[in-house]
Amino acid sequence: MTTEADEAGAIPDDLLAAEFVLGVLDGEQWRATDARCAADPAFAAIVAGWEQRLADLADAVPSMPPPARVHRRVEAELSLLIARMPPPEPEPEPAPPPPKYGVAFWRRMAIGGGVLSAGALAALAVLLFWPLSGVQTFLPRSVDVATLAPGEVDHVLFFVTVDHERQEVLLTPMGVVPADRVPELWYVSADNRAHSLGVFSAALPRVLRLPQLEGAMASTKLRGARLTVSLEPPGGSPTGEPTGPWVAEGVLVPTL
Amino acid sequence: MLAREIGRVATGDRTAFGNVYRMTSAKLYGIVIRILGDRAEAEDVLQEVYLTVWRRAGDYDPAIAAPVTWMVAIARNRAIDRLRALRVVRTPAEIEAILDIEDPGPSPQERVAREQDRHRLDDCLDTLPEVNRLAIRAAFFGGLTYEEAAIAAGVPLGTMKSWIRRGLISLRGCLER
Repeated sequence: MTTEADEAGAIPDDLLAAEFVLGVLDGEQWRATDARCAADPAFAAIVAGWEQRLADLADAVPSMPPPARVHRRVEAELSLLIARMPPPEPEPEPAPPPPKYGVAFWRRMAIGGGVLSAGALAALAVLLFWPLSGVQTFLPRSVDVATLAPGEVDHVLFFVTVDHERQEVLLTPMGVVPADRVPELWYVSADNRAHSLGVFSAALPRVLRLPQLEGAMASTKLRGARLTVSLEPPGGSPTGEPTGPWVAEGVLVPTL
Repeated sequence: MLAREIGRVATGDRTAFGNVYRMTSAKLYGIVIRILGDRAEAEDVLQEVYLTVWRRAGDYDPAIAAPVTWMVAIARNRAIDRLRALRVVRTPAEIEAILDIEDPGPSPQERVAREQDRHRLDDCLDTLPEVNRLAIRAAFFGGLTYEEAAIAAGVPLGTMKSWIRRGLISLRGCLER
């Protein structure tokens, strides 16, 4: 009735809370009121009262099952969240000799994973020059790389390199994996099935020979493929299907 | 049942968290996608909602709200927050699609976990004049701003504000009786 006055003057908290819950406030007002909920417990209680009052309206909205990938992403982010809880300091690695390839080279390689942390770069430098048998000679030629991260989170957990010439895959762990679990790498085929590429180490870069995939050479299947990592008991998934939570995913991209 | 699972989530129980997801994700996704109208955004927000549930499970108090109410509130809050941040301006046609939800009346609906006095809101909404009732429902389902609701209804902004505010005030009075 007195809409003019309403617009000009301050509205009572109870009405503001109701408008907030209903969702009719515009950008500025919405943000201000949302912030107030966090800072003002008395106001938050009024808001909770309205959430309660209007809750049954939500029953009229038809349910719709979300795609399965949402659950996977939630579980992956959760694994990360939990892994981060006691922030474990990684052992400082001995300083590697100056890398042949500059930092920029590795940044370019880490497409999709955002800028790699100094730690990750150090790990890559170590992986190139540390005398680990089988790793040392794993230098880029016809390779595809992927950075695997949980969901949208800009935090690389694994770095994958596929060497097509040698039919090998290298997985470099970059984050923290629970002590009693090992990362298992999976290729996700077009029909959304997971095919194991092998069980890796949670602590060290490890090279494995690529298995056959769907009766073909893995290389042919892996171009642009989606890869995921699940955490499995030592020795890998007992069923041949992923049994542990998905912790990271990413897409293989060619470097050359 | 759901309240008990949330209690377990608060202790860091991931199996319980998986159960909570299974029991509620279709309901919450339905709400979120109707507000956002975009699958990718809705999936993203749903993910955020469940991580919020994980973090805040310890704050959930069954004495204050039913578990579904608590989760729906988080989902709507996150969805509207995203919608406002995106500064989406929806066309009247899009708004109409959002609002294409039947006015339920007394028909039995899909219920996840019920509050004892569940019919009270419907009863009270039924006491409102039709324009006020429709405006409130529309705003709730679509996360419409006053302005969008006014455009959708083809009335001046002041009229829409007045409809919704008076509706809310009457509703409160009715629910307190």
